[in-house]
This record gives sequence, C-alpha cells and structure tokens, in this order.
Amino acid sequence: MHIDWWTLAFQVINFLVVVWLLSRLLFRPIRSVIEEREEADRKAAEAAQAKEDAAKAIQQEYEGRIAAIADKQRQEEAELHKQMSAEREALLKKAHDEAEALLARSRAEIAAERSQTVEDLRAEIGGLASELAQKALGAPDILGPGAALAQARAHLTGLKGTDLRDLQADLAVEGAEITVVSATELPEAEQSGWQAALCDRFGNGITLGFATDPALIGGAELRFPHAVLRFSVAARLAQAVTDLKG
Amino acid sequence: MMEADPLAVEILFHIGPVPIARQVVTTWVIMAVMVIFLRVFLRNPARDAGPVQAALEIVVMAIVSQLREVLNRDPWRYVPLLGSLFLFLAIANLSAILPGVQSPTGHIETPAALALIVFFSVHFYGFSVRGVGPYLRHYVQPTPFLLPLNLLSEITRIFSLMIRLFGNMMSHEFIIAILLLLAGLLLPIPFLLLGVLIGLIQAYIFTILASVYIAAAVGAAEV
Repeated sequence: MHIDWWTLAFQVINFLVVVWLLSRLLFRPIRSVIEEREEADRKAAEAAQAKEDAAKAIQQEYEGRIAAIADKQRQEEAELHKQMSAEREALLKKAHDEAEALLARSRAEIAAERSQTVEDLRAEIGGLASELAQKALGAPDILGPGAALAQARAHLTGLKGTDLRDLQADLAVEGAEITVVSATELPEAEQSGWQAALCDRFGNGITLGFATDPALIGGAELRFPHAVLRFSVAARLAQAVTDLKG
Repeated sequence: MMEADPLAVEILFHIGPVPIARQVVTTWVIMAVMVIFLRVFLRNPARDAGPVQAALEIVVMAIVSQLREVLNRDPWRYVPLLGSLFLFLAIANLSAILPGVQSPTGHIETPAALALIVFFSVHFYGFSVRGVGPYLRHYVQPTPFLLPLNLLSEITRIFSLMIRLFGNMMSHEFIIAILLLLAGLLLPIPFLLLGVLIGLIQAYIFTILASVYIAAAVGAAEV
C-alpha cells in the first residue's frame, strides 16, 4: 500500500482547519444561541417563579387577612352572643323581678281586696241578715198570736174577681178541703177563728183541716186543692231572698 | 472514472514542489462549500431560529446528545473535534454520489489523517483531563504485564478505525464503478442510495469509536 505523505499532511491540516472553521462558524454560534435561549428560558422561569412566589405571597396574605377577618368576626359574634346572653339574662332577671314584684303586689292587692271583700261581704251579709231578720222576724203581723189569722182574714177579704172565683171553683170540687198548716199546733180558739174566717168568705159548706209543718217557722199557710196562700215566716224569708237577688 | 490503481493518488497539480492530490482539492471544495453555507445561513444566528438555523441546531444538538451519552459528561469541550469529524465524514462520504466526485475517504490518506488526529486527540484529552501520571498509569492497569497489549491496542484500534472507513468507502466506489461498466447507468442507482446509508453509517461509526476512545482516555473523573 502506497501512502502519499504530502496528501496525508494536507488532509491533517485540512481537517484541523475544518475543526477550527466549524467550531467558529457552527458549533460556537449555535452553542451561544442555545445558551442564550436557555438563559432567556431560565430568566423567564425565574421571572415566572418570582411572579408565582409573589402570587403565593399575595394569596397567603389574602388568606391571612381572610382568616383574621374570620377570627375577628368569630370573636365579635362570641362577644355579641355573650353580650346578648348577659342582656337576656338581665332582662329575664328584671322581668322575673318585676313579675315577682307584680305577683307580690297582686297577691297583696288580692289579699287586701279579699280582706276588703270579706269585710264588705261580712258587712253586707250582716246587713242582709239584719234585713232578713227584720223582714222575717221584725214582722209582727204574722208572728204574734192570731197575727197570721188576722193577716189571712184581711187578705181573704181583699180577694176579688178572678182570684176569688178560682178559689171558690177549687173548693166546689167534691171532697175539696182547705188545710190550715202552721209551724206549731194551733190552740182551739185560734182554730175556731180560722174556721169562722174561712166560712165567712167561702161559706159554711167548706171542709177545713189543720196540720203542722215546722219548716214554716212561724205564721200559717192556707192550702187549697190547687192553690196555697202563704202567711208564714218561711214564705216571708223566701220572698226576701228573692227580693235581694233582684 | 475508476483509476487503474485504486490506491494510487491522483495528482492534479503542483504548488512548487508540493503535489496537490484530487482528494485534497475535493476536501478544499467541501470546506469551501461548508464555509459558504454557514456564512450565508448562519451569519447572525438569532434566538428565533429560521428553518436552516433550526435544522442546523437539530443536527448539532443530536450530535451533542449522542456525545453526552457516550462520554457521560458535558460534551461541549469535545464537540468541535468529534462534531467536525462526523459532519466532515458525512459530507465527504456523501460527496461520492455526485457525478465526477471521488470521496476523499475512498483513499487511504484521508482516513489515515483522521485516524492520526483521533490518536493524538485521545492522548491530548487523556493528559489534559486526568494528568500525565494518572493517564500513563492506566496502561499498566490492571497489571503491568498488560502494558504491551495496551500499547498494541492503541495502535491497532486506530489502524482498524482507518482501515474500516477506507475499506468501506473504497469498496463501495469499486462496486459502483464495476456496476457502471457492466450494467450501464440505471442499475447502480440503488447502490448509490445504499452508498448514502453506508456513508452516514461509517461517519457515525468513526465518530462514535473516536468518542469511545476519548471517553476511555478521560475516564470517569470529570463531571
């Protein structure tokens, strides 16, 4: 194999020149461009990172503010709740005290009114009792001996018209009688008085009977078959109660 | 045209007593084309790359990436030599497909020149990165008895690097020439396409082997 050393030397030199040329014209410029691009990318990434950090800082600050506001709001709510509870407790206590006072006052007033009412009732009852007593017992027209007979005689004498005819029709029935009822048994003389008075008014054909009823207290009643003429204390009291009721 | 002696150097002219061979002239033309191309399309490289600059960046970054994998370190220190080696070999090998152009690598002088440069570069980088002592010490490792074999392998691997490139490119040119003589113009076209593939593969193999030798020389010390 023959080697041309001149050519070999030329090719060595040529390739070294090629290395120098490509290094200067290709590799170095492209490397600088790539490094410049990487530097720009790095700077852009750093800028982006800085912006991201700033955004994170802003976000953290915002979240911190939000948290602080939330804490403050919670504290204010708790304080308000506490204040409202205290006010409610105070209002409740005040209302309770007022209610207690009102209740006590009402109780006192009720007690006073009750006492007054009792006093008034007592006075009124006393008055009523006095009035009833006056009406029942203070009427000598029916309590005295023969008083009831005299009052009955006067009443019978005054009967006229329809009332008298009704009584006469009542006595006209077969077997009809007039019963004189008194609280205690009447003496003979008083019974004769009753018979005379009744015969005077209704004729001698009447049938007359006598009976006692302690409930009458005093006085007497004339019991027809379908009517009663009352001249007793019990009737007078009943009338008085009716009058009082108004 | 095929030469009578395929290994003979075709002298085109002389500069004084110095003969200028055809492959030297072809290399000059390739260099001129490269310079003109780069001066035209990469005069002011910008961050916003145009199509040609982008293509060149892709090529360069592919070379850088490949060297990073082989060297396992920052490759930019070795890119001028190894990148130029790949690009020059690729262009020189592919120049053979042009009519009337003989690839410089089809003659023994060009692969020999490149192999010599790789040989000295390996030791240059070994010395510069590891230091003279540690670098020379690796020849006697793991045992001093291996020193002759290590020295022999230094020579043989460079020799094989040269012969591989020369043999492939020369044989390819021979095949094309023989086919042209026997079969006419059209039949060699698939072989020309195959030549493109062979040219690129040989450029890649030569560069990768040179990278492996340099990587072995600089070791794993540099980060």
